Amino acid sequence: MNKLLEVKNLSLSYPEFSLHPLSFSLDKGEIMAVVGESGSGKTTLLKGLSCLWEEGVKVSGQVLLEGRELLGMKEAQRRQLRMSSFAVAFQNSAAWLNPSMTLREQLKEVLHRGYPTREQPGRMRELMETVGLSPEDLGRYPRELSGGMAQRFLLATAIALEPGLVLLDEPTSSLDVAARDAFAALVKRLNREKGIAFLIITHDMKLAAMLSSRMMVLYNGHVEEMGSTAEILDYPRHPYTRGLINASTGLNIVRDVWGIRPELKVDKPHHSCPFYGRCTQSLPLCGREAPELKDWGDGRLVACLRGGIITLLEGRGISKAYGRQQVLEDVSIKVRSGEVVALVGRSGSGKTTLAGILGGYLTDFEKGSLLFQEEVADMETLHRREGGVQMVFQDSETALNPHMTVLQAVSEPRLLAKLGREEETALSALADVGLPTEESFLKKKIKTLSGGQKQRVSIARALTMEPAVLLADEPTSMLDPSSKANLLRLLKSLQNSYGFSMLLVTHDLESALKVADRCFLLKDRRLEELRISDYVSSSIDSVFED
Amino acid sequence: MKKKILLLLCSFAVIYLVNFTIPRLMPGDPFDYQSAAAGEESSTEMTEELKEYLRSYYGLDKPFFTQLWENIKANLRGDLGYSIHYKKAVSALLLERLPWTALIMFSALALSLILGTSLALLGLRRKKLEGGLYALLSLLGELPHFLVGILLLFLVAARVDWLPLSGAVTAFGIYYSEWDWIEDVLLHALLPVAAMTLVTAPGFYFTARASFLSILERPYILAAKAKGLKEGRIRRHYIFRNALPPIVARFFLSVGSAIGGTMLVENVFAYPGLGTVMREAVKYRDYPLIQGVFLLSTLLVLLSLFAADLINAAGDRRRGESL
Repeated sequence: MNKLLEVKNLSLSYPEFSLHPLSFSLDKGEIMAVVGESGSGKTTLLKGLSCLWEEGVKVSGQVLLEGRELLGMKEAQRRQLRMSSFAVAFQNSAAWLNPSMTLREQLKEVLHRGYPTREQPGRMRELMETVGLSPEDLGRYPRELSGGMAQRFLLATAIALEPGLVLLDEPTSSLDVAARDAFAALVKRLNREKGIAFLIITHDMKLAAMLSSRMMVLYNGHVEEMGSTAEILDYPRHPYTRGLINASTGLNIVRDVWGIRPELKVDKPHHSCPFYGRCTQSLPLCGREAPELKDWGDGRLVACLRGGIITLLEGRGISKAYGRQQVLEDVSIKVRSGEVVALVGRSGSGKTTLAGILGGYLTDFEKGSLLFQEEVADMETLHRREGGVQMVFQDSETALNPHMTVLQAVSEPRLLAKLGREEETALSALADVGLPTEESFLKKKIKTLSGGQKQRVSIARALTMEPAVLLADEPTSMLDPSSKANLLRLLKSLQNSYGFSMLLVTHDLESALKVADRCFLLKDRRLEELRISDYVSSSIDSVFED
Repeated sequence: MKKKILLLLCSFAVIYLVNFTIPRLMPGDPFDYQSAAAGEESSTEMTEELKEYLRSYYGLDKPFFTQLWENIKANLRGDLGYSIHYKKAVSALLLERLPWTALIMFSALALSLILGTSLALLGLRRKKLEGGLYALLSLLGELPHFLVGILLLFLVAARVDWLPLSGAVTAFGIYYSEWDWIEDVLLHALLPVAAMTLVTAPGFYFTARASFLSILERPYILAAKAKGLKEGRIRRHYIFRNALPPIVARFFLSVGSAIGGTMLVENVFAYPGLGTVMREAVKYRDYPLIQGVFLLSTLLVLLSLFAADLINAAGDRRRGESL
């Protein structure tokens, strides 16, 4: 019986928000992180666990602390356990301290429950030193503390009676990196030396990564993913978790960060998956049914009707030769939903060939197979339907008919596929790629456009088909540095807001690393996955250190 | 702080000027009323020559600005002038009357503070009670002081024989001990103080209630619960202690309206404070006395406003909200 905390179907409902039933357990001496955006229910969870909910909140479920059920307990009884068995350290702000009492008085309020009066001064000094404050600070008022000092003092109060469990609420939200790292080190030390278990509620993925061994991802009052921190960071299974990781400036110091796209559908069906409107891979089913959190086989708990992030396009064991020259040999690649995959390699390494095969434009390869959503792909159809595969070719000069007008060129794909709404989608696609939609521009001949404009027209053509996968072959090779930067950002932002997956084929390793979630190197006929973090990482933690 | 003191001095200067001007704008002068106009009290008729003589004797025939300048000079020496009606130094007269007004006013304010705060505390714990309390006090707080005084006089004092109807002490009373005297004074003060308190307490109730409610939402109240502190301790050390500054500031902010209120209530109960003196002074165009009363109340009000400012600033500093 190593369980310290066992939570069974805990749920809290406010009129405007509910934390849906969730269960988890925490071992003695374990550190677990609860992550999620603001409004995901993290603080509600904390209120539930610490039995500090407001009046009128419906609470159900069980919270067992060392086998004792907390929720049903009378507050008078619970008061005995507070601070001595479990403690809460709130956000790092002096607002959590009584402004008219000195720190000494506030610490004494807690200490007198466990220590006789004569031992209190010694214990106070010890606590202050443990958290890195000076005993002289005890005479201060909360207004005289910085955020970091307030945080340390709150922690000192929380560990004063050496409880088995400390709940930390956004402990580092307004601290600088040096203060955050120092705080994380302190928590680690307390955990190691005193065996205190911590439940850390935070939106800082970096802090969660630094401290926790397990992680729970909350979204809109639902648990979306739960499992080992290292594994989740390495390979997030839920689209939301991946979004959080991609949005974390702490985990992406050099790479560009992109937030999860905002809710697209305003009137979300009541019983839908909570992430439905923002997900890159939602099906009509996801709008009707909320997924349960379940184990999909590898010990990871994921709440997704599709079992987590799906693989959209997959090439398996592809080999291709031009005459006697072998270009590709047993190449396998996966493009998952909602991600940007870069395919890099030197000129002539066979990138364009592979892109052509994956895009379904080069069909005569010797070995291997193409799969779309884990079924054998029928590329002809995928080119001609919405939610299929589209490609932006390297050379827009030749990919577009120079005698067509802009409007003709952009509405052509839907016209050929007989999908209807050609003009309407063409106009919105043109606007999305940042081109004018005035009559005069629409009537311009393609041949009169600049290189950058042609490239944008090509992208707009592909967008009109609302693809699930967009392959872009050297989209920036013909552009000057500024246009290149603009186009890269445009592609990434379109990807982020439309939610399609993108395979970016390029020899420009530098650009690829800026936008890609994963990166493959094509070299000597074979494909190798590069760990982006091995190439793009830097430590800034020492900048603020004294 | 410097800015506040400067503002205070400017306000004082403006009010001083107005105090000096207003009585002189009223029709008539002290001597018209000394002679015939107040006929019921005096049957002597002054001749125009006598009036002229008296005007020049009191300096009222001098140009306005000369009078003002001389007035300022005298005031700076601590000389508030000589009451034309009472034939007494204004400062002596005020000193004689001020304690009575102060007694009524400060007792009423102190009682209002205690009553209002207690009711607000009660309301926090008994939500059902609070609705009725809120409505009742909203109504009471809007009534004029003197009206409540008159109602008390008619509805209470006139019906019981142990409550005096007027005055500060029993006329020609004989006291066997100091306690007797104190009891008599308290009994006379009871109704005026009650009239004032009924109207002033609601203000304190609303201030205290708002202050308590805002403190209740502070994070440290939740933190106190998380610390496992007993409710009594949270109420005393977390809620009450932090909610107090605006309530105390209200005490000083209320001095302004309380002075005005007390003066009117004094007239209802014929209480010998500044209010009754003031009425006489206005009636007889007793310029120096009018000015004296106004000067005194102006000083009182401005100083209390300043005190309220200081308390509020101290409260803000403690919460770390300013500086």
